[in-house]
Amino acid sequence: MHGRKRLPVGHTPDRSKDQAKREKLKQLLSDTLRDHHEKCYTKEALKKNAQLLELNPEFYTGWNYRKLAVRHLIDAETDEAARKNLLDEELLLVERALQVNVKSYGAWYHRKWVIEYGLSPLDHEFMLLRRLLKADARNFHGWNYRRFAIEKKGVTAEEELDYSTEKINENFSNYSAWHYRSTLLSRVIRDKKSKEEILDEEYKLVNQAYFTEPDDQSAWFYNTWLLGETKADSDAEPQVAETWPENGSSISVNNQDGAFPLTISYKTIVNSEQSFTSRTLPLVITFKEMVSSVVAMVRSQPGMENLGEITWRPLSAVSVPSKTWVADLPIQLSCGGEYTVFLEVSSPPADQVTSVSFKLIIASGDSAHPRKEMDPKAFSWPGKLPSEGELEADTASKLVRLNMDESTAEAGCIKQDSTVLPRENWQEKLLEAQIEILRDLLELERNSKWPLLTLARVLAVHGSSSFTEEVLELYKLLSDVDPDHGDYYKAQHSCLYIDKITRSRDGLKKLWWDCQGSLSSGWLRCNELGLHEFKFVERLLWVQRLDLSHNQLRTLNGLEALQLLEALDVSHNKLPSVTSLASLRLISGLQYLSISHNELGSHPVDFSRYSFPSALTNQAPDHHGKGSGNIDGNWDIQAVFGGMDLKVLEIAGNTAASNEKFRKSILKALPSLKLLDGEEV
Amino acid sequence: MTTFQLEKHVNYVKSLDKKSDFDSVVMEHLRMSGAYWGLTALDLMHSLNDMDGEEIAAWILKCQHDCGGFGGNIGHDPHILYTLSAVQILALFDKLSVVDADKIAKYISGLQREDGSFAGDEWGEIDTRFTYTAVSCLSLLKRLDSINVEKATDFLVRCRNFDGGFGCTPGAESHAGQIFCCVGALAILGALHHVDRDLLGWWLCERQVKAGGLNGRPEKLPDVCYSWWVLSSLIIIDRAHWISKEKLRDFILNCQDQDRGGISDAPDDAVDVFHTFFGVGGLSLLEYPGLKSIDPAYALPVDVIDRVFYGQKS
Ligand SMILES: [Zn+2]
Repeated sequence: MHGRKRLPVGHTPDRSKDQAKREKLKQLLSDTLRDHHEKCYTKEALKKNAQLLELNPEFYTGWNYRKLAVRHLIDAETDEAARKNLLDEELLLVERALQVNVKSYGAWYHRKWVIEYGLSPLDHEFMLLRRLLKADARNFHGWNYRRFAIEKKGVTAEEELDYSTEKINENFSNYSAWHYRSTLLSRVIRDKKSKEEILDEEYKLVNQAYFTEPDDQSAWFYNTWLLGETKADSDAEPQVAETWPENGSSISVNNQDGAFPLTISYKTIVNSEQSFTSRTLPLVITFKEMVSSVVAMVRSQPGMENLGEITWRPLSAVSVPSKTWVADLPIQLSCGGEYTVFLEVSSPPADQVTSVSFKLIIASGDSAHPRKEMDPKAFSWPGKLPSEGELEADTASKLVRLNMDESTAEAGCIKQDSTVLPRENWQEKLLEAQIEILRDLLELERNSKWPLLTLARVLAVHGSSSFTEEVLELYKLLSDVDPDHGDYYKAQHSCLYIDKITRSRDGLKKLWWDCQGSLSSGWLRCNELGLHEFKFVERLLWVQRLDLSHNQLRTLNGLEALQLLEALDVSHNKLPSVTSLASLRLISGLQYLSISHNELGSHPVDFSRYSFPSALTNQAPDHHGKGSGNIDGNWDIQAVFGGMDLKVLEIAGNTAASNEKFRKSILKALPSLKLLDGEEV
Repeated sequence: MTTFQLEKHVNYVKSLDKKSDFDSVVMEHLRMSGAYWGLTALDLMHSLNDMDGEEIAAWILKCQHDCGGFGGNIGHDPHILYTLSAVQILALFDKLSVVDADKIAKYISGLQREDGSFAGDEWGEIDTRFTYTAVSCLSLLKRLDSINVEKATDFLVRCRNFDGGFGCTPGAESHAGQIFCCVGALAILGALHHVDRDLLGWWLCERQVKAGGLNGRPEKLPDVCYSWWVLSSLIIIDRAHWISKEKLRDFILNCQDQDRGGISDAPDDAVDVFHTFFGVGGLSLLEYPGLKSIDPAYALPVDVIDRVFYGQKS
């Protein structure tokens, strides 16, 4: 019930009046139900039913009965005029019912049902709609009915566009009309030429609207949509974002005694040597959008065996589209030598092909970068600072910031910024005109939320790096201007910021800390950056150790693309639940994980419950099925950690860490674990 | 600060069944949903044990028709909305075994149309509310394989709009209630990748008005029921931190009838069971102390859902 005032305490409604009304309604209801069950379709019965529906149009069974009765009477009637009369009665009843409750689904549907007979003039319907949408311009039943009537009458989208213009000009804050316009325009825009002209006109309309009503949301939402339409056609873009191995890189494969596993070494974009052990050479492709299928031809020069048998699998592990796809390249050690491997990737039905090639050097015998069995303790940096004593010890490693001289970097060249799409002149012009108009409006409306936000978005779409600092500032300002949505602006800020600092080789070098005194690789440190979100992981496919500690992260979604990751520090963030770590179960080589000092166990609500496949989403992988996963009432622990190969885990500083049952479930799910919070398992 | 009047709300909900005023007749045709709202609210307030599950289950069975569908009350026609409410109540009482799941599945799958959409009943009204109802009900009964899941998903995607939201049919305006239905259904179908979380999350978080309450569409008044529709959708897509939870909590608390219990749509309006449920559900999603946690997609307590999908808790 909506909009009815509460009675003051002690005040009771007039009983006798209520009683009489109640008895009448009750009688009418039981009459209709009786007539319905007895299939009694007399004029008298229909009259009583009409009274009932006028009193309460929500009695759906009453409408059902009525349809049966009307159908019965119409089928028995041969004269078309008489049939039309019967239906006219129905239309009048609906109008009376809508006067009682204009939001009655049953009444509106009854009207559609009547119109479907095709005996009633549609002009009357349009007249009625005009009146209704004049009185209540946002009534979505009315708008839906209009769509229905338009289709019946065969009105074109172009013609309807005039109606939406009329409604928008009547009142700029009619969101329903803006929405309607967006559905019509999508049908009107047919080619590039018409798109250019239409967008130009639409911007004029929307600019006029927000200059008139700058605090109204409607035009601003429409403006954001226009902005998306102004972006370059994504069809013309390469679909592949990044790959590992990178295009133009060089990989060496060694083994020490002629047996598995192999040591795989590569030089990274920050010019440091990395290596890891594996039975095959993993191949990773990340796409800009999720794709449902991948065709990737692999060949080599000189030819290697078994390349035709490579299968690509989506990382998601369930049957949904995926951004990241992986495969294993089998290595025949007996075939030592130097190869060039070519990958030709596409995702049907798009016919775009991305070509990638890398050098593969296979050598038996001693590796140039031999690798020792990993000591779990060697990971304890940088999550916590080692004590003096530990530093001396053999297991400790010391991180030093990479020195910044531009040495001969041959591996991996940074590609053009993948977020900025090539544009045509008209797009550039439109965006620049919008920037100017928004700056003008901000002169009048200083620190006004909507123009600030829209300016930030237009600048970001424009993509010129000269705007980056301004957009970052705008998002900072917005979280002050509109603190209720502060986390939204901070998320936008984080995305832009991480884009900025990972975009170039120099940016990445600043984040890179080499590991001195240790044979294993260094860390990419994105710690203490105030990050609310972590994006652009596709630029970091080469990273094996990642420090994200001391940020504001609430989820690790997306990190699964880092298939070479073996150590991750996300301590001191805001991870609220086990399910927020779900993406990590897709990284098979992860051995060290610190999630200490997060919010695990502090939240009754599981915010990531629906962010990964489970029985609840009808996507449970077999081993997470019903029953077995919830023996301790912790199905989430089994679903996330089960099957992982972690050696070291740190969970101290979470509410859940002091829960014995929680720890036990963790240990049960991770049989390979050696150290939990620094203690041997 | 206003506090949550748990005991008064429990008493209010319990008193509803005995009422015989005009409103109770007006609501007679949707007694099944009324029972679901009231009983779930009681469970969230740890008071379901006071109710007689046997008696309620027996009444539910009297509302079932030969076709497998349930009516809103005894003698009322079957409809998909009340079929879901019936199944939800049985799940609350751990009594899903008293119904023939295949028979219900047959009724629901019979309502799916060629384009993947669902009709509410034999008369053919189409709405994404009915898709949610079908999907949620079949998932609770482990009978999703009885419908064409792919087509059902496609239809939901066709209802997606320029603002990232969803409407009741293709082309219809985004509306928070409808968004819950579509996002909830996509979540249950494992197809959330069709949702642009950032775009939709932004639209949803802009439903919060200065006073703290949430509205259902731009430039509309706030209403307690949207605390549920908006917030549950935000949680399903993990964007609930984009609104001010404190302000929303205070708005809901201010809609309580402090004297007689119950929660209304807006401060000082008349209370009803619908808004009482959505107010309590909203507070549960806001982690209000002393309430059970509610599942954002199935709209049932989390322990009930975990029992259905992962077996008995220890
Ligand atoms: Zn409401």
